Amino acid sequence: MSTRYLLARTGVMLLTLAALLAIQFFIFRLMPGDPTASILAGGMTPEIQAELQRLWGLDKPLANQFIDYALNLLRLDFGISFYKNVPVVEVVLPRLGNTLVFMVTAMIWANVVGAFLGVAAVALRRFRVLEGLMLFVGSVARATPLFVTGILLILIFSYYFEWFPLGGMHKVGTVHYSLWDKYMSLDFLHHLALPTLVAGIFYFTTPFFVMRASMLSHLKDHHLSLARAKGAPPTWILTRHVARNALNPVITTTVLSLGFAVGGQVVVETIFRWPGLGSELVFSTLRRDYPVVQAIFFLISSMVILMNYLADLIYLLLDPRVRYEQGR
Amino acid sequence: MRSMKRVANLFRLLFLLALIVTTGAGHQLWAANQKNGKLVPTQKFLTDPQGYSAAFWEVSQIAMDTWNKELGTDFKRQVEEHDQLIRKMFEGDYDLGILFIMGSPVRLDPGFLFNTFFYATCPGFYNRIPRDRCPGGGGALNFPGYFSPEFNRLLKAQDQVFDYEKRKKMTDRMVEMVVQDRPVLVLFSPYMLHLMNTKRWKNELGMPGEGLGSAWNVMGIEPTGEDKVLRIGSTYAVPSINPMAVRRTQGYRVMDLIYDKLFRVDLEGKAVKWMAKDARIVDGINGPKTSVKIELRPDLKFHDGKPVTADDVLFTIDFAKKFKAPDLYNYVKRVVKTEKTGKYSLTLHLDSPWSGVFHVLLSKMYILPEHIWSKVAQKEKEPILWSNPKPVGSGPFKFVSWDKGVQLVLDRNPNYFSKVNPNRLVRVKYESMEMLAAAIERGEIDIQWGEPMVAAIAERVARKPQVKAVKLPNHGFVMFTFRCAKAPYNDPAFMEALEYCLPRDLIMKRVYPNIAEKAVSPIPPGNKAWHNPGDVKLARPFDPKKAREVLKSAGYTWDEKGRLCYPK
Repeated sequence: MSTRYLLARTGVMLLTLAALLAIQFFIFRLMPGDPTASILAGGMTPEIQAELQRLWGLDKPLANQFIDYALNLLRLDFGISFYKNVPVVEVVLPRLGNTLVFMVTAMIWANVVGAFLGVAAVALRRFRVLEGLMLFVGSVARATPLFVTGILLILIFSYYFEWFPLGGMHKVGTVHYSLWDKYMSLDFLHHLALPTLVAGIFYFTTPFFVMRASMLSHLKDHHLSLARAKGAPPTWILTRHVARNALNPVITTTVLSLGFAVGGQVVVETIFRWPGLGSELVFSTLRRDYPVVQAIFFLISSMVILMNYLADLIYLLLDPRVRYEQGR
Repeated sequence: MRSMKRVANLFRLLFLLALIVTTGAGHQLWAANQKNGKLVPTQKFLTDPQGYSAAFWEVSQIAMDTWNKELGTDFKRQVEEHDQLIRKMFEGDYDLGILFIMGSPVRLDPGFLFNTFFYATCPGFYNRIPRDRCPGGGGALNFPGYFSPEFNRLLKAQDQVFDYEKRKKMTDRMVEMVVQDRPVLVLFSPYMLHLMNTKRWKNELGMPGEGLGSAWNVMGIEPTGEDKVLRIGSTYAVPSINPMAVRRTQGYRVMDLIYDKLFRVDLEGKAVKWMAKDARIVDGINGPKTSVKIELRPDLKFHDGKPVTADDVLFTIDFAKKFKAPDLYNYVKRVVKTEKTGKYSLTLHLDSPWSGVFHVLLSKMYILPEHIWSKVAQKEKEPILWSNPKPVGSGPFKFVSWDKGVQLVLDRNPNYFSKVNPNRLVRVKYESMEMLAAAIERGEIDIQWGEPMVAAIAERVARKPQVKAVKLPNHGFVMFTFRCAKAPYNDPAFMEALEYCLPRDLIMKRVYPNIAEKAVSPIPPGNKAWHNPGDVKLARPFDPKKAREVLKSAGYTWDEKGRLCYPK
């Protein structure tokens, strides 16, 4: 792999991050609405209001606020939450963990199942009705908004059948003293099941359609004629030769979707009361809690940029033709 | 050539036609203006989003539709997210709006209520008015900018009257003034409608204005069996666990459990001695009845086992004054001097006699442990903003854990001097009333806190076994607030006409059937001790014909489209 290409690609990634930092900082500051509205209570005299604005640095010019923000970011100091009065890191980090656990689980099963069904759809293409049904189900799953699926499943499985909890990450009143307690108990897994099912239903469709399309395009590859001439069974050809070659775009889309998925779960997290980045983003945006909103946006955008970068690298590793082109 | 001539003629004709039309329209306008004054412009009615409160959306819609139809006004909705709505009101940047004033215990005191909502030292007051424009300031929530020297005089006078009957006469007069001057139009007082699951708990203690959300209920509710974990659900998150920075009702409810106060407001709305074994108003250095002698209970302990002494109380007052604790400073600054008279006794010297000192200051101020907060005062750059990660108070419950925005867990304080029934308390946030109701129905949650449950949901869920809808009186109220300094709200005739055209009964029937009590003043019937029953006679009944007569007598007219015009 060309070192020069790697360095250039890394440089582009860092520049993008820096530009992103500036854009999202100013966008929030320029939004209509006053961030102090949520922190200033009725009992406050103008002197106290002014004092609080000074404490949060809101009395400084915008450029100064940005410089302070950027310098603090280098020390991984995202500031203090206006609304909760605690360091932003204390608000955001636990939420990030909760979202990652939820989304990684959902994405793993969605992509594994989606890819498998993509292969199955091609293998069963002789049975047109079955193939048609799979495509129909995939289309409906993709077209149905997440909140519709979520609310329906809660209604049926949580409310009427009471097979699953109504939401949250743990049973009400659970206190956990370690990460193992938090993420590895049966109670946690029970709470995780329905939200990941809902997210998975939406996200399996991409690898499903991509895998199917990719496999169909590889079916007429020349090397398959040799495999057939050698007497290899059709299933063997499909799984060992066609699917393997068709997997590249699926892996790329999987990595890319992971980046978006971290930040895009506002709907599922809100419906299931899952204390993740998405639900915190909504809450903090409504309250103009700038430091928290900025930190979350920065995290989400960084994930997307990082995943794009990783996708490029993975592609380089997987496909020798791309490596050769970059090396030249 | 010919075709060009035709085009030119066409343009000449069009120009002539335009001239005729505009001259005619102009003449009509001129003629109309000779008859009518200026049109009353579009008025923006500030409301929360419909998702925040569907009920308020309906209430404001009924009012706007009635006014527009009967009076020829042009009220239009302006939607703002709640915190921004409040900001606009703080800045006086609105025409009129709808608000629910929650019935917190401190608002039972009429002095506090009037001082907060109707006091101003200059016309055109608003919360964020620059000091040089209004040096004397005004009430923090005087959204209308109501200014009346007579009202201010009565407010100051009643503050210094300790005899209930005398003070009641003064507050009754102040109620009359507010109802007649109409800086606000109070519509009704919604009951506190809270849901509860009776599987694990019984004999709940409801409190006016707080519903099931009071510390009395949390301490005194009785278990039905062995499970003594009380699970509370609310649609509000706990904003902060710093008692010096607490700002909202939900914050106070939690602080009431972790920290303790010298006085508490009881279920009847009276300030009763709590941490204070004895408290008396005495003559002091600033004149008669200007000092408060306090004797603490000697058996009080903080959660870390250290005793509560007079030093802690004195430290709390100094801290709140020095660092300008946001919600306390305006009251604690009236304590001009403190004096320690014994290990458990102290005297507070006030700037002037204050009949509300027990109710307003001593029932509001959480006592801090000096041995912890003195270090905060020295080490923290901004002590008021200290996150207080592991709160140590002397209240009925000890802090266990706080998963921010999700769940707060507290355990019973085994050394508390009063009986506490639950062993553990878990407070959970829900995203919506529907989810909260479903959780109560399923038994995930035992009691509801916060805003009243939506009536339709309560009605449906309360039919299930073991679910109970608890309806409690409330001294909170729903009101329309108007910017008094702006036209047309500075015209008494216009305001009287608006009230004549306000269908209070219809609104209550449609939006709050059987779950609200009629109210016309800021001291509704739910505040039994201070309510003025005569206020109903001062309010105007619904009579659109009378409304138009009032406007006509004042010189208002209507144009040919039926739109209301100012007097010429």
